[in-house]
Amino acid sequence: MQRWNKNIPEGTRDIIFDEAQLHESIERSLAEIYRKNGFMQVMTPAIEYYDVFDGESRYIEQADMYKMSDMSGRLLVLRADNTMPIARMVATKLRSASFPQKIFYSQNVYRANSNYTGRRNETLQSGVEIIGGGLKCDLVCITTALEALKSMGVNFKIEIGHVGFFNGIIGAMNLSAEEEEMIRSFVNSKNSVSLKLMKSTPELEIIRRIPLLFGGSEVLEEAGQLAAGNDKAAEALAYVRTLYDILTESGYGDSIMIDLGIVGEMEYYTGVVFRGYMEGAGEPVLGGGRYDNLLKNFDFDMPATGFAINVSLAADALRGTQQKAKPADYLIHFTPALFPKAESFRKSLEARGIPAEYSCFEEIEGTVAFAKEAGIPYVAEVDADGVKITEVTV
Amino acid sequence: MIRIALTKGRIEKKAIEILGKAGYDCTELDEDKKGRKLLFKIANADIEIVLAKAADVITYVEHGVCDVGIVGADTIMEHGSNFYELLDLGFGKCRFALAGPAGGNFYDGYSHKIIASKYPNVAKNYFTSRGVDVEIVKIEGSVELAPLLGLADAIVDIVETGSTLVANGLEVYEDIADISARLIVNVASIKLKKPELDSFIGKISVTLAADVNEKE
Repeated sequence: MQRWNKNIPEGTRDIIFDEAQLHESIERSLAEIYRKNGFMQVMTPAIEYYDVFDGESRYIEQADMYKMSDMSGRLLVLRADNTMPIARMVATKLRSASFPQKIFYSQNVYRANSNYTGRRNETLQSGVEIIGGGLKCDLVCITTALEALKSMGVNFKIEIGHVGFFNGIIGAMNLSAEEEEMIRSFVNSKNSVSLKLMKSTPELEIIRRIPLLFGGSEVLEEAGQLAAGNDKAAEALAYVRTLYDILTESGYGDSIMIDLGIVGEMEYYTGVVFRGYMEGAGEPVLGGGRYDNLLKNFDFDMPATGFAINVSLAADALRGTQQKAKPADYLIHFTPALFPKAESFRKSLEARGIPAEYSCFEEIEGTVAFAKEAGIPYVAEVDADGVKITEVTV
Repeated sequence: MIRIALTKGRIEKKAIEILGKAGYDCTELDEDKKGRKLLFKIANADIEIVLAKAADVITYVEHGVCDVGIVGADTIMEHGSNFYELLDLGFGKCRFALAGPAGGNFYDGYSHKIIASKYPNVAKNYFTSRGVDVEIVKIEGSVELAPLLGLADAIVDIVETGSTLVANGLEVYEDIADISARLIVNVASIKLKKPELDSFIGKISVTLAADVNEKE
């Protein structure tokens, strides 16, 4: 029988040294940005009851979740999404808080992707949720997202869409749920080819334009013509235009785009949706939007908006670009009996702001070799007579 | 810079022809010049061409190491899924079909049907979407053998002229989908490299439209 004691499960990774530091530094700088903007951190369990992710509408495929059972045989799921557990938490624990409430989190999500696709099944997500409120909250959410992506230090873009635009247009077509689902998936994958193969109707002609409705403000003009006579689509478009205009006026014009072809990856989105891209990442690193009906699943009727950044993907994109951690100035070699002496030497260095670390090697040769490898310039050897300092030449 | 992955072989030749007509200098890719290289430069534009196997074209585009891919719809149906499918390039036309022994009726009888295919996902999706339970057996080479040897009741395969089927006493029972070469684009590239990709895709569309007009 194959023993699996030397392998890790498909889609997971051991993250070692420089990469771990990169993950941690991204996570920390994002948290600082959220805190600075008044968001407060929450943590939810890594395991939840299956029912949390399986409301009236199922937003995550059952097959994509890691499932297990508890001691009483109830079905549990490894956290498959952050927004749903936070919605549960708000609806049960924060009912009496004042709203809008600004929340942030930084924790792993687990989804089973198919094998051999190179996708991660364990990803670190860092994001915010604003529970309660409307347009103002979307503005705060998007500008926080812009600041967050900008902090990565590479070329980035955030695009804004609205599920109401597509829903308004397709809703007027009176299609069966299956046909609607098919068209939705074609629009979502900008599959112009398959849309072209379908039987043409005046409404489908409009649908065929939707995948191409991305870019700058010129998109709004064309979309305006397509939405004429459709109240729901026109209303969605007006919302996007308002956001776009305000953000442009606030100086974010170069970083934002419009894509009216985003029609809902996560089906809990009910209004404006956004995605963020950064150089070096082949998929969106940021996703979010307004979800006004999700908290209702937990008997708390409250609108909400939010976004999540895939820190694992961002770290992959930034791999190799980060500064190496600066090594210590002194490596202190000691024998256990002389540790008190070594300790007082280390403290004197610390008091002068000089970084120093202990060597765990038994022999001085090992210590010197390690100092060379780690780029530590001085070895301090503590013996009975005092401290002997040697400069290490690489 | 944009990087384009081309499916090696027939699609590659036709795609290079279209790129040439659209004004891109593909001399590095000439049969007598290319040798064993896999990565090429377009001389008069900031474009790199990669030659890869069909399924790998999709993998490279999905991961964003290539911005654009040119690949058959058969490969897209088998391997899907996370990219934008923008253009039907109109060449490499054929179809997926369900075929079996001539004169037979696939749905006759109550026995659990066995399907042999090089494209197990295409076969599985076709039957699950119609609510039919079948057993699918993956075959790597000439699938036509499977029903002849009695391993399968029918096959799901690519049919071009149908002559291989006829030569082996098989016939098409049902058409499953039409196939042709497609242009796919990475989901992030289309946003981050919009001006370059707009210009490239625009030129290709114009060339394709001119091609169609010529034929008519």
